[in-house]
Amino acid sequence: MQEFVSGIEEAVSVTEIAVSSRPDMFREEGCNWTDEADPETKLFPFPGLTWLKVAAAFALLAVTGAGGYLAGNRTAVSDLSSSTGPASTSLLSNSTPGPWAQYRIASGGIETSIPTPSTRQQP
Amino acid sequence: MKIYRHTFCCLVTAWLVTGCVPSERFWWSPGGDKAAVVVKGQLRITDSTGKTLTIPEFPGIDGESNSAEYVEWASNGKSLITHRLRGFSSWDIAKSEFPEDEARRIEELADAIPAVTRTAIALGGVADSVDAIFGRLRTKEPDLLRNAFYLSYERDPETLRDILSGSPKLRAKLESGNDDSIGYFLNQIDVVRLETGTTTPLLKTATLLTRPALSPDGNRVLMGRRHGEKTLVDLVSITIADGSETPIAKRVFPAYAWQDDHTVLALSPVADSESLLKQLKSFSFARDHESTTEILATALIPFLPRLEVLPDRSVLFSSQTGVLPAEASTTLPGSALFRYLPDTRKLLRVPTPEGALPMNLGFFTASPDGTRVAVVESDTDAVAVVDISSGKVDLISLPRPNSKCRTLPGWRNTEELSFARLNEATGEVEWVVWKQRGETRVLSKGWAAESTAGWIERKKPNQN
Repeated sequence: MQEFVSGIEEAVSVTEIAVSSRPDMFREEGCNWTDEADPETKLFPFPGLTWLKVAAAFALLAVTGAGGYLAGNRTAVSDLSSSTGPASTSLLSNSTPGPWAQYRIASGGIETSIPTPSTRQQP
Repeated sequence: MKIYRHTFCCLVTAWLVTGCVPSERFWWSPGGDKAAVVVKGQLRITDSTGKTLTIPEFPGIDGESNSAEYVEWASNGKSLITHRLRGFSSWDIAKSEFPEDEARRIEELADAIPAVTRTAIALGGVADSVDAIFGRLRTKEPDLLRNAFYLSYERDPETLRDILSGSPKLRAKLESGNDDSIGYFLNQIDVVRLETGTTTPLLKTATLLTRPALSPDGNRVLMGRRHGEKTLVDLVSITIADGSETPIAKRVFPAYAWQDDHTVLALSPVADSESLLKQLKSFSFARDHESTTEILATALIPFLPRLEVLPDRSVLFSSQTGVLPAEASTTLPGSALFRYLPDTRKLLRVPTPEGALPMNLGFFTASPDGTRVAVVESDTDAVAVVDISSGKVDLISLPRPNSKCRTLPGWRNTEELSFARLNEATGEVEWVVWKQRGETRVLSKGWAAESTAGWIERKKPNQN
């Protein structure tokens, strides 16, 4: 742990890198992230460090990379359900058959089915 | 480290977005008589039949590689604004090309890289790319950090190899030096004058830039600068005459356009960058005045945000069509195109039938007269044309099995749309131009097959 903390101290002092091992703290603390303020201006004291800069986006970026988009990203479901609750899963449903890819929520992530000539319908 | 010429392309898209998506690979001149086409990272200018007219020369130094990322035509069709990535294999070569302050910072950061890398791995474990490892850290300077990583590796490879012992794939990439993402990268915006063949640098920076957009008066270039959050950028405007930079907006998606010479429109996150709710905002600015921000609309966008300003000044964007709050079991309708009308401040839905558009509606491009929109998606290679006033959807290219679109269509004029299409007989990807009435012509006839091979992604035989 000591090595870990000293590593962070060195990194922060030299590069101003901000890290957070508890990115969900913002919701718990009721920070208002809907205003225009740059979250990087919010500073939090942290024992052993001068300052630790944190940002709300870190949480989900860390889990999904740039995730959250459908573009073939099968990890998006965990992002969507964790960020907006179960209701968000239905936002992906598309029950209308057509020429386009269909998306369905499954236990392992988003399932994509690609239309075949026999199932395809002209719009 | 070695860098192979023209081996990397679309890195901007790759760095901003997870996975492959349709992106711009060709841009028609305003008159439709020429096209700027990027083939394996190299920019070429073709005529309307696909014949190469010229290959613009970009000044550089021996040993660097170049990848054209985006092109914007001037309204007279005589010059271009280009965004390219320059790659260098050694700091000795690269240093003189980087802005002085950035080069100094990269050298400062290089000393801290072993500690920073250890910290990132301690926080999030190992990963197969430098960006993924540093993605665990919150930094305002991810691109300087990435360049510093390679400088640190160049100076002392053994230390970083040791730190990366749990990531054999990344170690192998570094040792082979021939991976697309390995090396020092510089973003450069140039003004290319076709008549004289001259290229003038407008901006050089290590910071990842996104799509340059010329202002309506042609005097300024709007672009996004990555500032740390992977999917968000800060918007800046560069004056072509003197290179001065004006900040326009912070933390917006790379979905932006000029409304007029003093107003920029962009899609912005309501809360964090992963929120499905996004806002269409206008950013107005004038010399010696503070800029003002106005929220014009709120949208539900679980795909890549995109917007275009049409000739009638309306703003075209896509959104899901749900009404909130919604019960958990509710299946909301699919995605649709919308227009924001600035004069009446109203939103109009393009009246497409339910299911006629892809759920993943992040890839569209409007015709020059703003009457039609070409739509593709990333999971099939189908292409559709939507009539904006009636909502009628014509599927002009059927989806082929195991094919995924990786190229945004582009309108040559108000009647002709060009796009990538798989020729099932030859297995080759063709660049074609379609017309409502008339034959679809192949523009890439005679091109080497590999020129357009990546324009549509084919499922490999052993992929599920």
